[in-house]
Amino acid sequence: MEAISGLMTGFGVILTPSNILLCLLGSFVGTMIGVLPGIGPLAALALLLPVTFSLPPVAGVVMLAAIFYGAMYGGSTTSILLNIPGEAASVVTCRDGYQMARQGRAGAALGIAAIGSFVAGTLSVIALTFFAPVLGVIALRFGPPENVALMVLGLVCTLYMITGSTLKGLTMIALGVLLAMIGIDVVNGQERFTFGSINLTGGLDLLAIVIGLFGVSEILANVEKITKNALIAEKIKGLFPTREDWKASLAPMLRGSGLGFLLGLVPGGGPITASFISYAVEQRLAKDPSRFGKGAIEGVAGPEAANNAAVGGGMIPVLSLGIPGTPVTALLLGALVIQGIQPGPLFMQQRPDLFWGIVASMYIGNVFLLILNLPLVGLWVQLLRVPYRVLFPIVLMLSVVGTYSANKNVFDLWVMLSFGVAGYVLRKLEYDLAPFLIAFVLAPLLEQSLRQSLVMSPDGIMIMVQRPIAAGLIAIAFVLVALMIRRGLKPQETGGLINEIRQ
Amino acid sequence: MIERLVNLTWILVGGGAAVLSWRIGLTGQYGPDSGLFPFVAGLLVCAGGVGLMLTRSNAVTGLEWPDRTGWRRIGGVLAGLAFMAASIPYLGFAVAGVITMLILLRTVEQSSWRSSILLAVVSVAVTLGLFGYLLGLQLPRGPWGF
Repeated sequence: MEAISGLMTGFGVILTPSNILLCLLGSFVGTMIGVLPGIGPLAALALLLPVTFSLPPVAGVVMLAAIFYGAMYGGSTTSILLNIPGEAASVVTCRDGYQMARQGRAGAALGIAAIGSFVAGTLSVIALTFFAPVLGVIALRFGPPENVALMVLGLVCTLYMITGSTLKGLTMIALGVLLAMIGIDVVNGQERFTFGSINLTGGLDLLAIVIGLFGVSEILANVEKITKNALIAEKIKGLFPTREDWKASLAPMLRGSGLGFLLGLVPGGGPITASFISYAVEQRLAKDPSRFGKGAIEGVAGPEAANNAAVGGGMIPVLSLGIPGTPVTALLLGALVIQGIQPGPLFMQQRPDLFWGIVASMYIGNVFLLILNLPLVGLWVQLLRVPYRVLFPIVLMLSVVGTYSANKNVFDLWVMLSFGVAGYVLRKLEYDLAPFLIAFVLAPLLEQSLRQSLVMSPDGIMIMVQRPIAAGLIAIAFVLVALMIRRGLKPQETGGLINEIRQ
Repeated sequence: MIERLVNLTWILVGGGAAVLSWRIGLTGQYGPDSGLFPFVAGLLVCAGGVGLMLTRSNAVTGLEWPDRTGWRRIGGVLAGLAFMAASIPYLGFAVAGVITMLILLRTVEQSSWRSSILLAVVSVAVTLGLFGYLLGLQLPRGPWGF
């Protein structure tokens, strides 16, 4: 009942002309970003974050959330029509979506991707509505030791879920923590790694890092080889699925929704992992797995549902516990902090308008996205004609504006540039950059909670095992570490299922 | 070669950070001091670098770097951004933006002067109009007042 009354409060907050307009604008921009290859949702969110500074918190976060799930919707269009993923979570959609388009079934593929995204998005928001308050009540029992345990578990989960080398992932986490320590220690005013520079006393700016690491480095990787897009379908027909398509897609959609939601809850999971695992599951459950990769509609329905459901799932830990599981939710957390709001156990009690406003906006946003992605598909097809050579200088301009406008400091532009180069090299060397960003966001909170825990404990670090919730979370973290050690730190043995599909 | 250089960077950065953190102080009267957390993180970065340096299984196989044209494009993007960061305080966003766009369009895409100038002026004007005037973000102005 609490969830229903909360949701009504949320609709009361969101159903104003300005909030609805911003939700629509966010959905539109998100879809556009998803459609355009070479701009990821994370970079786009970072670029547009300064725009929200002048908006009220509810409106700003509603718009950012809409961009996030809008990008998940839009990513499939490029995968299906160009065989180029609009964003990382749509990589797997290329396999069967593009084959369907080549067989003259682009409309069916786009239709099922949009409907699957809508079904999964709505189901995951329903689950978010009822699950988040329960978690919120449990989270009220959390003190500093439980927060430490939760953040440690979050970082271990992130490491467990990454693809590629675990050792590289661990190095990235440690580096994220280390760079987050730059600046003045808020506890005692001690300067750390500032080297006398006034620019470093406030620490490195999150926006400059995100735009550099995920925006500039992506542009550098894309300009390396600029290829002309080969659009496979000029006019899209038959968007509404046939009875056979429905029959084949319904179960994968529902399975994808469940899987995506659960994986969204796990730190390090998120839309990318969800889409890959959903594809693997559908392939294994299929009567004829050899159809996969040759235009199987289940290979579009499942992963597209999964990556959208993961958005709803991913909102739960960040809103209820203040723990981001993916770089995008880490940035959303950063956006809330900039607005003077600290998500966490008390967030739902202290700001029910904001919490339920975000949830309600996701229901409305999903409907907007279905409308934007089905009847307006022709518009997105036209957008794909914009050549990258025209697009990237504009994105770079926006990167500069986005980075500069946060602090009005030119030093941030140099930080952005440095992280752009670093991101490009690290991508080449197959480093996963997500753990770095999650660690960078979590480290100050982790340090503060650990210090509070040790101050309140007469037995030092033993407090972590004396409190049942903290001990349970630490035990799970230990189990995951043991599993990682058991499978070895070799890259080919990590993220097995995902690597198998990627190959 | 570059991978080894990156691993060496981790060792040096991590080791250096651990030494500096040690000097800040690891423990104080009420438990951990300002240096403890960065000390542990520094040690882990350093250990990660050593581990990556010593194990071959973590090295990238079939690493592909760009060809000459690719490097030229990447160099153009970096030069454009560096120019913009350096010149914004003196020229303001509008002029620095137009010149940067010209650098990008001429070096990266080798567009004609005419289309480069047109695209540069239009996109900077749109950015300035949208962010500077419509959304009220304060973008730096040059000596010309824009």
